[in-house]
Amino acid sequence: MTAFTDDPLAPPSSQFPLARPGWTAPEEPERPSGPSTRPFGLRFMRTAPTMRAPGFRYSHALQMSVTADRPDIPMIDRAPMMEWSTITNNDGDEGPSEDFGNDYCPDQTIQP
Amino acid sequence: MTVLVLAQDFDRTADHVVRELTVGGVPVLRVDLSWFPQRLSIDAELREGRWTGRLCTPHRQVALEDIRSIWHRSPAAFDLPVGMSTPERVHAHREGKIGLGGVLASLPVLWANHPGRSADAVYKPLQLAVAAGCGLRVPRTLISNSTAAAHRFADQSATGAVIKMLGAGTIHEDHSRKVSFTHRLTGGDLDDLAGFDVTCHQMQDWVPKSREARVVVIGETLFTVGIHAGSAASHVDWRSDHSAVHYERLEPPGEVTAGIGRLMVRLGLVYGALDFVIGPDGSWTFLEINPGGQFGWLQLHTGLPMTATLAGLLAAGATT
Repeated sequence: MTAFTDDPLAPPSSQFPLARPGWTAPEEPERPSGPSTRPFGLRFMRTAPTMRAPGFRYSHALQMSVTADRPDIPMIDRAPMMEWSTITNNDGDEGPSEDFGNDYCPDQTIQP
Repeated sequence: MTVLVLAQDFDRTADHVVRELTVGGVPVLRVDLSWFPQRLSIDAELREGRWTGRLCTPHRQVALEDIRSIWHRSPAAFDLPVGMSTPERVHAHREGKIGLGGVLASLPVLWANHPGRSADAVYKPLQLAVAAGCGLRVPRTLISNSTAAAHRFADQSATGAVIKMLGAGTIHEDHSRKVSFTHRLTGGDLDDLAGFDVTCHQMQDWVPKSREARVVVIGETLFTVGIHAGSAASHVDWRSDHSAVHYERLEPPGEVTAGIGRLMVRLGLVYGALDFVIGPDGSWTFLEINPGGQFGWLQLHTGLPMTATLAGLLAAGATT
């Protein structure tokens, strides 16, 4: 059986996309390679700030994120204007974030 | 009957939809798949051709046969127990994905969207071909790793060529996060195409624009927002300079609406965020569809009731 990661066209893993867990960004030390091997399209990349989630807790009672200090206050009430305009558009390749959740479909977990 | 929401713990769009459902008296179970296997368990048996059983968290549970709809909103990868070896993690992840994912994917309920359909629709060359087949205008497009093809394409372009990523426009390297946006290729770019041959690149004709539009499709409802660029950067790619854009409600032409409807059916999607360029002549050119695209910030700017509409779609549910 071909390993999922060996399938170049339609890995079964992509059929149930799973996103990178909660605002984690890989600490990738590897530097760009040389001009003959670096994909042309990457020339036009810009360095962007790493997104960080604010302090929060998940309330199983409300099934919503709540403030870290007050479990009865949903995050969407604490800072309603923050939403969608600063840090939370994380699953589209549009909007204030350019990440696309479906793009990250690991066949291996990212745990150490 | 319960709406199952698959979303990460911190997801304010999901928070709003969950609140909308809850206020409306619709039972909801929200789980993140990173809870599996330590805080989420599955107990499913195949009986008479359908999976029955339960999803359980320490706080809530739902019978599989009691689910009316599922919103697949970018759940996170499994969080496996510390201490497993790498081969064990690979094995456990694969078995979990096929097992849990497979049971959920088989449920005959309304999905927004079914993960398999979303995964298929991620392929932009597929999107473009299907969109054209559905009667939508699409840009002249090249997918290639041939420098000769790149020169040919650029030479034949009357408006100039752009390059844009086929997949996610983000990479992490050199201890930093880098993003990409649509780039108008210059003569200097085309004089040095080193690295063009190492993978596929997407080039398109630059589409002259008066403004752009984002169409958010939720079931049978279309919400259309015009996006006006206020800077040179946002004129090329409005994602690159959000502070310089402003929004307005729009109604797409009838033939565009009809084409979008056909596209959604062909791709098997009930939710999608589509991007169009509106030309100076009023023509609408399809750029792409994102099956997991955001809508919250557009609701914030326009007041369009997208959250309520999505909640209504999920609450109505359907069997398939």
